[in-house]
Amino acid sequence: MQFFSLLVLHSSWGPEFKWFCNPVLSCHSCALSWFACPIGVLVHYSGYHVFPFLAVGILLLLGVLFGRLLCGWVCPFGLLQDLLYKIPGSKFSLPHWTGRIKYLVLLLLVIIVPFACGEQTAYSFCRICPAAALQVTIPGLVSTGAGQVQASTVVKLSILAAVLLLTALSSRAFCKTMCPIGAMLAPLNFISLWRVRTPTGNCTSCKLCDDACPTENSPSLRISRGQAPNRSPGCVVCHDCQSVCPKT
Amino acid sequence: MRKPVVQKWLFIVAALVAVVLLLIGGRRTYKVYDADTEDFGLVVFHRISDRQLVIDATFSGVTRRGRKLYSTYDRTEARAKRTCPT
Repeated sequence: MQFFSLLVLHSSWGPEFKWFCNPVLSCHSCALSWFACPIGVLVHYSGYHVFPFLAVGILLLLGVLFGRLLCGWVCPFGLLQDLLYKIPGSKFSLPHWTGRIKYLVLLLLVIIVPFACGEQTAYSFCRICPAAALQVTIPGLVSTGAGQVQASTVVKLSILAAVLLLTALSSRAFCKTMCPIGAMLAPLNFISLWRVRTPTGNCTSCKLCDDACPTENSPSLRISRGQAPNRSPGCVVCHDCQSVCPKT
Repeated sequence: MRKPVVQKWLFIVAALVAVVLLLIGGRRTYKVYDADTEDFGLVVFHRISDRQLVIDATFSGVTRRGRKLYSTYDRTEARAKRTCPT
């Protein structure tokens, strides 16, 4: 499903759908990108001092229907992180408090700084976005040559390298700590229509679901309370807990 | 028992807010001024929809100066799909 969505999201040979903010991390500046990036749109609207009715409406509607389902199944940057984490080697877990950084990133780099300094500010999230570095900056460097590399490009590529290294060592590290789309959708996990169904009644506390969870989100805690495992801001609704459950 | 009821109501309220935002966004228009024409003392503007402004935001087709939004390209000419601005 993730590979399929990667192809679909970057196959815009047909009509233009860039008015639609698809809530996944995929730069709309990529020539092949089909949809608009909600973060890029919010950064620009903050700079314009205009409320993004359409963009927020689409995000909220998809969020209340699916929660962070698109993070787990559609986001191409999530797929990249999943593939990188499969590289063998030593792994570690990030401290729980790092999950709050993404809310600060959303507030500062997507809303407050572009509002105060304009949409073209060098301090917006788009200027450090690792997806944009992959989809736009690197192809741009390849096509124009690396002779005119600016300091901002070096910063962007360094952040991309750091994020890729971190995600190879810690599962879905970017989703957990930095992703502003995740920050927007996370609270909607609590009320979303989409539910991960696990056999809450006859759970044997084998904790297989905890081991399978890519975001180390302890789904067994919520299952033991009779809740759906995706009723947590950190869950990317990948359904891995459901897949490994022996009682399913 | 109480928590699922609260969740259900929050879901309904959030879904209604989303629909209202989409309806407002579907009707709302913005004035976008031509940057070049001001040199001759003329003020020419185009009314664009929220949908068009989202598309413009994807390639920096609009910029803000003072309290006004200005177009960064000629809107009178028919355009093809926009490519990467960088």
